[in-house]
Amino acid sequence: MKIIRLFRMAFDSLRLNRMRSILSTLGIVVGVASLILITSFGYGAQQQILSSINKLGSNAIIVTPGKVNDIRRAFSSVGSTITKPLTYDDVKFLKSQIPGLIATPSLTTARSTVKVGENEISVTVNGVNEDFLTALGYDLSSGRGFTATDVNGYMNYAILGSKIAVDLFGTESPIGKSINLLNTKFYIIGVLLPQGSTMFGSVDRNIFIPITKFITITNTNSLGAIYMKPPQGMSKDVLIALVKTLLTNKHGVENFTISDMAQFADLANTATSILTTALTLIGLIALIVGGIGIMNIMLATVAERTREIGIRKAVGANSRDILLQFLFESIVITVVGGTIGIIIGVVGARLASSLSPTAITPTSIIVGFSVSVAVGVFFGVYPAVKASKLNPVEALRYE
Amino acid sequence: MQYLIEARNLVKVYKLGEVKIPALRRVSLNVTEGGLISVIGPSGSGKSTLMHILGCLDTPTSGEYFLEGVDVSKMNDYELSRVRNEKIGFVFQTFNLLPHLTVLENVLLPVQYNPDGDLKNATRRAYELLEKFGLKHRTKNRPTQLSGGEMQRVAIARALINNPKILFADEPTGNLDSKTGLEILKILKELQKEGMTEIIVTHDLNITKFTERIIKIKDGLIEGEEINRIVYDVEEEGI
Repeated sequence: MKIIRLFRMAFDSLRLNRMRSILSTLGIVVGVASLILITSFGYGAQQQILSSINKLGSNAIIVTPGKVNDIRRAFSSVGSTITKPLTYDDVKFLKSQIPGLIATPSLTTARSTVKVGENEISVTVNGVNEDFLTALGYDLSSGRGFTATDVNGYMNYAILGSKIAVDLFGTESPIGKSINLLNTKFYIIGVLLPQGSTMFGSVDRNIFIPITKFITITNTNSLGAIYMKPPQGMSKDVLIALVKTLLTNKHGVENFTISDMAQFADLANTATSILTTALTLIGLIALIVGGIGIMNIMLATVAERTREIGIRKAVGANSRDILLQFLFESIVITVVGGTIGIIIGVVGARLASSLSPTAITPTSIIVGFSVSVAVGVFFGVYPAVKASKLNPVEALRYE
Repeated sequence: MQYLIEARNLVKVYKLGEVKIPALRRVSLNVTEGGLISVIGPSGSGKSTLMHILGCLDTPTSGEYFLEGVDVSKMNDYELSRVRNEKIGFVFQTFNLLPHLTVLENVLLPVQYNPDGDLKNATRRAYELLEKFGLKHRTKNRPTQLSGGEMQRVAIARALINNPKILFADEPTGNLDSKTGLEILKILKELQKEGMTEIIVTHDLNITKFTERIIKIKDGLIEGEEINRIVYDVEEEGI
């Protein structure tokens, strides 16, 4: 028998029990849609973390104060007082020792308020140096970045994150305007492009000032971290070794931790794929419940149609014909339900992306579709085999 | 001379748990091509079991059954279904049409299980058969919209669609009034005159008057066989 004929037969008999077919299709729709939707959150989180790591560059390294063995705890000492902290002097020292090194202080912040009309809003002020755009992979939408002269000259210049720029100046260009920050007047020389949320949160509401000025105003000398990228032609591993030797010699003890982005990428990947796997399993449970629904319906259908099976066998249907007939009914339910579920899942993921980042991958669509067909086959086989094994004489006698 | 049906020592035993119930006990039967035979007996006599085995719906527990010289008693499910499809037509007491299919689709049902089925030619043949049985205007109707006699005529058309060698009719008039029953018998008689071999299973002695051979079954055995010296035509009997 031709496949088209089998599909037509399946559609015809599903039409006969329209309400029942719609309900069992709905079970699969819900299962597939929730599978697509909830895995889109997992994939979305994964893509977001990876893209923020990629922005920093896979050869970037981060030095944090305090010695830990596990990179998951590398940032635990950020902001705490430590006897031998990292200082801006360390940054200058490393740059002077390693020609071409890109290094900037990072995670060195203070809270401040700025006036917006009548309101004061709270902002995070970051002390950075001339390398910070290159080191962190940020781009400017207007103005310029810091120069070595700006940093060494303790200039009261500021670069704004994209959102704070809009908050403060609306559609006007902030370049050349001044703001009051930490009781000091700063002139705005640049505005960043929107960065979205990065590995360490959103920087779009941050304000960046030269580290030298930051140290003077806040009267602190310890840096949260130092970001570095190796000079042209130097590998990440060589840089790590060099920094380790140079800083240990300078501090007299290894009181810092060097982590590299690849490690973070791995860590983030592991964490998000655990998340995605867990979400996929939850989605699969919904699909299995839908599959059990199909099996239930198909068993009832087979029982109801015993006489039909007998008639079909009497006029020449063999067991395989009957098996395929009933199997195709459950496959049609899952193919239709799976397709609708994918569409709803994709649309739902688009709508939900305002709440949390979502991503639809070809994998999730292929998995969603093939799993739903597999559910149809798996839960349809038993009722279909039962139908095919009916003895024609007994089936014809069935009232 | 080769018989169309050659059955030797057919035995059928049903198992109900530990209890074995013999439905047929060594039944032998030969049928020549073109014959019209009635099988009569009380209910439980084994006549339905015999028809099921001869109609390849069931296999005997032991014994041999040759249909057109081919041993079908040991065939598997697939082979039996092909024999039923190509060589055998069934007419049932309860018509057994599929209610959700149209008259035409019901008639064409056996064609979709025929691997060599040519739907185009079969459709033409279906229209011819339906016209012959006065159902040309009913092709798009569902069985529920038909009278009993019409349903049985659709069933006969379905039985004939694949040009079978033999037609089995199980109480074909049992659910019909006597007038309609005679109409169906008339059709069956005409088909025989055109060369069809037919076996009618019944407990209605009136029907046997129109058949050439009467096989009486009781307790799973052939109790006796009669050859009708005068075979009535349906018209002569009157209505």
